[in-house]
Amino acid sequence: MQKLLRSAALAIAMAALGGAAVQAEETLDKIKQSGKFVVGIKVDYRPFGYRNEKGEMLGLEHDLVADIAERLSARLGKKIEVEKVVVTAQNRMQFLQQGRIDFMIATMNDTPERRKIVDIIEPNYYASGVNLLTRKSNGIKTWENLKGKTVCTLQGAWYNKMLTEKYGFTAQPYAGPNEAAQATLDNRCIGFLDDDAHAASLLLGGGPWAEFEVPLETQAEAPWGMAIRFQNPELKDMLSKATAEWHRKGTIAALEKKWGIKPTKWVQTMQEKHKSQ
Amino acid sequence: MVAEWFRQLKESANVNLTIFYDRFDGLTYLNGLATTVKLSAACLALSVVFGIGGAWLQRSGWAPLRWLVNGYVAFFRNTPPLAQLYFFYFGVGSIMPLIPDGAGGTHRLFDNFQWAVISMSLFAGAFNVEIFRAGIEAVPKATTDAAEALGYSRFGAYIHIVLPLAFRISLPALNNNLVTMVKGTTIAYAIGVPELLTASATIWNASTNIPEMMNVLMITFLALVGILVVAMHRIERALHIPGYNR
Repeated sequence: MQKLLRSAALAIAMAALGGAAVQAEETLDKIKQSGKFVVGIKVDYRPFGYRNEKGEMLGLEHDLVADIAERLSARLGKKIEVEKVVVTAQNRMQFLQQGRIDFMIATMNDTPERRKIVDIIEPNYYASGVNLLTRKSNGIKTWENLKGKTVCTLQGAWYNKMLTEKYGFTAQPYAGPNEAAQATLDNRCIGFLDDDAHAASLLLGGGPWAEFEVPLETQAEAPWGMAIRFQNPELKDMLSKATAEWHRKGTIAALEKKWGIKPTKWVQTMQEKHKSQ
Repeated sequence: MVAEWFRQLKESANVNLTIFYDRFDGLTYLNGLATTVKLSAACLALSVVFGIGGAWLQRSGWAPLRWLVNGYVAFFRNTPPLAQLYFFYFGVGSIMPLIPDGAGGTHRLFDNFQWAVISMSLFAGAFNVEIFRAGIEAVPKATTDAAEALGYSRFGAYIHIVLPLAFRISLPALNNNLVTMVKGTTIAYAIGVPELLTASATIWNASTNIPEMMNVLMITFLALVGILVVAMHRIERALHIPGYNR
């Protein structure tokens, strides 16, 4: 009986492994056969990915996907259609693992833990750091201005301690970005210690945020990564080359300008680095 | 000295108690302890006042006043305390007037600590109303009749005869509710009050010493609630009337 169980378990494990391997090997072939490039992308992160009044999806990441689709069409010798699947921070990696999407570009930070789960493309295509979303009338100009002030933050953010210790403000941590944003609007604190890309997206949304600004020098920058499933060397190589070319040609900087994002130092540094190579 | 020992404990046994050697973590935790004590003391006092006041108004001859108290008890007893806290802080708190803070800026009337006190006192107070009502009802009718026969007014009899007896009868149930309330102050975590849970979370997110901080947090609350229980037992014993109700 035990033997039977063991061999059954083994068979299931083999099937699972085999299935994953087959699926993984085929991504580029699958795209060629179906003529469809299934992409997991966000629409809740203006201007990186959002919907306009007509309900159309657009944004910086959507432009990058269009560029990749063109490269795929050229390489595979046939017109490749992009099929967009809307993902969120909670489901993006699962969707990729389960094969519901073939490629993910969803404002995701590149971390060692995530690299164990999905194959993250190098070089990174973007980076965001920490800045302060604050009322223009507060007149905050430098990090040192925050000394003794109360600042709304996110629970669990690793930089809370580092920045509190360094600049001597009091952190008021909230469960999520929406609570922290609401508390900031309610004048509970001098400003919201937020991801600069997220802060920029709130500013672009206008409304009550029209009176706000992101005035400080960004700290604690972390890179963003696009991802595919493991064991897709050809697709990975193609995406790596595309990203390197974006940096070399200044595509990302141009897109920042197009979407009204304050030029980030990280993008400039990457551009210089890849130009010299 | 002590700091050195705890630093070595991390090296040798991989038990990382940063609060004993890292200045920032230590101060964060001490501030958390002070905030929890202040929060608990304020809620303790206010909730008992709400309880006694509510129980008195509940016996009022004017029906709308009784309905008001019953409505208050029903609302706060039948909704979750965390939801109440969010409701007060983001729902009611957002429409509070802006007042100047003296340094050129403005802030909302009632900050997160004050809302935590208001919300949790009202919640615990609703239970205290019921606890005191039970105590008042347990005072024999004959006792009140005797007081009235001796010339006490209704209010006088309540203050001098009924309440002192009712308070003694209510004490065990009151102790329970106050212990629950002190432990419940941790929900102030949700609105960023820097009490013990918030402080612990800040520390473990930066130092990734979650198991250690969980233990420290548990021991701290065990001690805090232990002190409260001992104090309440002392009060119970001091107020005991020999031969009454035994």
